[in-house]
Amino acid sequence: MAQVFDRNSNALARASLVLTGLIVIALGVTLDQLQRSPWVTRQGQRADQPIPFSHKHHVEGLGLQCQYCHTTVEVSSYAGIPPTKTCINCHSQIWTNADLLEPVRQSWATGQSIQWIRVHDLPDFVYFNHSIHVNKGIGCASCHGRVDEMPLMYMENSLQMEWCLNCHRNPASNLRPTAEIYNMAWDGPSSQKPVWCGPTGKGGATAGSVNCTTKDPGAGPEVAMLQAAGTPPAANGATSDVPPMGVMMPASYQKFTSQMDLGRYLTSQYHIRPPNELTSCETCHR
Amino acid sequence: MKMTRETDMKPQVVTEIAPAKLTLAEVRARLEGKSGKRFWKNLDELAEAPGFHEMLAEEFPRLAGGAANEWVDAVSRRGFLKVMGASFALAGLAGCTKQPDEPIFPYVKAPEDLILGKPMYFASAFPFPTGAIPVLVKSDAFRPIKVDGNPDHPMSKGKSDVLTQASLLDLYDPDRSKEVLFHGATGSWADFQEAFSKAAQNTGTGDGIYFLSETITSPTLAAQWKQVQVAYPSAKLVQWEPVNQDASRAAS
Repeated sequence: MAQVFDRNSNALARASLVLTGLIVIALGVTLDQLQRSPWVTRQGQRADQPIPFSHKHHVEGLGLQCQYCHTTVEVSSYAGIPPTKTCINCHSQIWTNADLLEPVRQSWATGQSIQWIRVHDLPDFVYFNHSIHVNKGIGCASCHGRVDEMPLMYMENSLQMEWCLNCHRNPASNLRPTAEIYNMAWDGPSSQKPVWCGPTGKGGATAGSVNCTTKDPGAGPEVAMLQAAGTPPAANGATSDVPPMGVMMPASYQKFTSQMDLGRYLTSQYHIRPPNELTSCETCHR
Repeated sequence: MKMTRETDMKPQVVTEIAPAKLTLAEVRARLEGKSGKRFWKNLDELAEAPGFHEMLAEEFPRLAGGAANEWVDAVSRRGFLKVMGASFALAGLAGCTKQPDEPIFPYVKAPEDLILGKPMYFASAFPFPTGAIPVLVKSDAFRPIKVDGNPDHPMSKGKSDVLTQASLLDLYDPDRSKEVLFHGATGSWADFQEAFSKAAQNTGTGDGIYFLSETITSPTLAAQWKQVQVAYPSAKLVQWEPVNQDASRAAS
């Protein structure tokens, strides 16, 4: 009886074995990349909003502070979406007939909400708290990117779990002085632009425990003025006759020329929990 | 005739047959000349009673009611397991898709004291047959989510009981009427006021007016009831409590 398979079949059989393995691996890699792709995460996508609201125009152009609209970012888990009233505060006076603002006027007249599409949408099984991040030295731009340069709002980062963990494993790489939280252009200290930080000696909230400045507090006569400006007069009102602590001890100020040095200093000053606690499941999945 | 033909068309489900009756002589006659491995479980089988083999075809003859037949019933046990198994497998797949767009509905005018994401607490009272219980209601965006004793009240000092805790569910009771009902049709409070005041005036002294309520311990309601009594001396207030202490009072 003749051979059913000729000699070439051996090579074919071996090739098909290898090919099967390759296909399985390729499928895995494809699915993995798909889950991380902007198609799934919506990273960088501009949602079709009812009003083409420009953060660039309102923040960079007009200089509105983040909290003018996102009022509860420092006190609540939810930063807050402004009510129609916030828009009408100005737009009852300016651009009162603009076509783009028709949905705002419609909402104000009828009492129906403007229906926005959520751009930063965490899954419902994740607990995220804005106030703890803002009060412990994570700036808006660290997660949301340069919102002041976004004509239409989009998601700068994927908001996937690996991205959260990147920072929770090593928070020092993103910590900044709490005075710089709303500074969109902050990019950490360098040897050209060092930062000096020192304890204020005040108890109470974390945000007030450290004062940082970008001018050398040990040089020249402006030290006293800088230090006095560093401590808000309201908190100081009761003891205004006593000179602020900073003036007495400019030596306690440390100079930082790298983000990691500053981050490590702020980690201890702001009482940031160690990575093993920050990456614990129940930190975000309660 | 037509009827019988239709029933013939349907698949017959046999769950029970009349027990066979055989005398010992008949059994012997049946087994006459048979040898080797030939088993029979009961007399029905031996007697080859009508319908016996149909009954054996059922998976669970005793459990299978007429409608539960696997081949006739739309959802059989096996079919159910098949469909559910597939559903669970597909539900796992559904988790791999992307999230749908989520709308945000901001306020038009935000309430002044509201901080979304932080609960608000309201001091209130839970009316109870033995008197009002001081409570502190935790609410999220003005929706009550927890009822607890008021810690600032000297009577309870923050303590409460099961009925107080469970009173939260009363607030979301779907059986609670949300509007005024008249003969089962919805009406408005204005309709009710008009109809009731007319009817009450027609009675003169309030003869035939009955108010139904639970036990009232509210001083405000008591004062209002006194006003009603002055205006309509014959009106009656009927109180009934589904769980009360009448039995223990009667016993003591």
